[in-house]
Amino acid sequence: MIATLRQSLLRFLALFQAPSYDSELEAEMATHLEFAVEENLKRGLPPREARRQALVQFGGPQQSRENHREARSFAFLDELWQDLRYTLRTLRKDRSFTFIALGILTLAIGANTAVFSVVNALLLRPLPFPNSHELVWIAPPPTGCGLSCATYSADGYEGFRDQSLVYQGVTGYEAFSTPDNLRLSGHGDPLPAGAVARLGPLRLRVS
Amino acid sequence: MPDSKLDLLQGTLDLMVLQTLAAMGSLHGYGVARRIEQVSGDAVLLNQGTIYASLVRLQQQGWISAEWGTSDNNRKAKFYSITKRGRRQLSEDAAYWQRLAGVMGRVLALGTETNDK
Repeated sequence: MIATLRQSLLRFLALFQAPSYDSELEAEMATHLEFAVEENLKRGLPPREARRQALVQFGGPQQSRENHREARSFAFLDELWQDLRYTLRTLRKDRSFTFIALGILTLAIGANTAVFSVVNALLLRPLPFPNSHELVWIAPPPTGCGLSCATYSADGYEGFRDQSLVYQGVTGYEAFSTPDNLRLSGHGDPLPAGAVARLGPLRLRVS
Repeated sequence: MPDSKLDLLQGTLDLMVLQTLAAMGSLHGYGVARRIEQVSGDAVLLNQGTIYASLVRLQQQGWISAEWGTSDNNRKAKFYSITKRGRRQLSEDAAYWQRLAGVMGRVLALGTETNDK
């Protein structure tokens, strides 16, 4: 158990000691070939052949390096680490590209976050009422002037409130102005004006 | 020399390296590779380069230790030797392999016995 832990730790640390591991391996492989050539020469082979056979016996040095890397470390982490360092090097070399890329990313992430906050608040998150999925907005059929005309008169509101059998409760809101901002215009004698300034709270039957 | 050399099974090279170091004392990578080739009568397919992966693995497991030194012919080389924990591991692994080999031998002999009867 402790041996496994120790090995994992060493393998992890090896990620960051790649240069020293690699240079030791290179030195070892060079010595290995020298030993092999020497032994082949002693067997009476001509120098060229001695070297060729030594290389054949050794196998591919690149394969040997890769085996070594896999054995001493976590190969995919090692590659990831290499890629990361390569990326950072490239970015450092090309400053203007880095700044432009960073700018685009910043703007894109910022805009995305902002838009999502709005969408989340308006569309995705349910309204803060119990059974909020049962809430509906009563709107008249669309007309040319959009939401500004999507209104009901006070009488219409009271009709909905008192006579509807469909809704558990009905309320309304005054979207355009403050209660005292009433404009009376026209001709003739003034008459008392009624306004729905503040509507009662919505009372729902709890079933 | 046989027509085809034996491919090494997973894990066998590590055990061979351990045994070689236990028997020979301190050796460099080339020495270990040559020794295994000689003992096997050149019957195993060993790319000598693969020995270094095995050596670094055994070293990380704490079963062998390494030290730079000078060879007989005055070359700088990394010398490996087996540790106490390595010897313990070696005796465990060797016992396992011998049991496995025994079982495999008996199982593979099964067919011939029944055919004889």
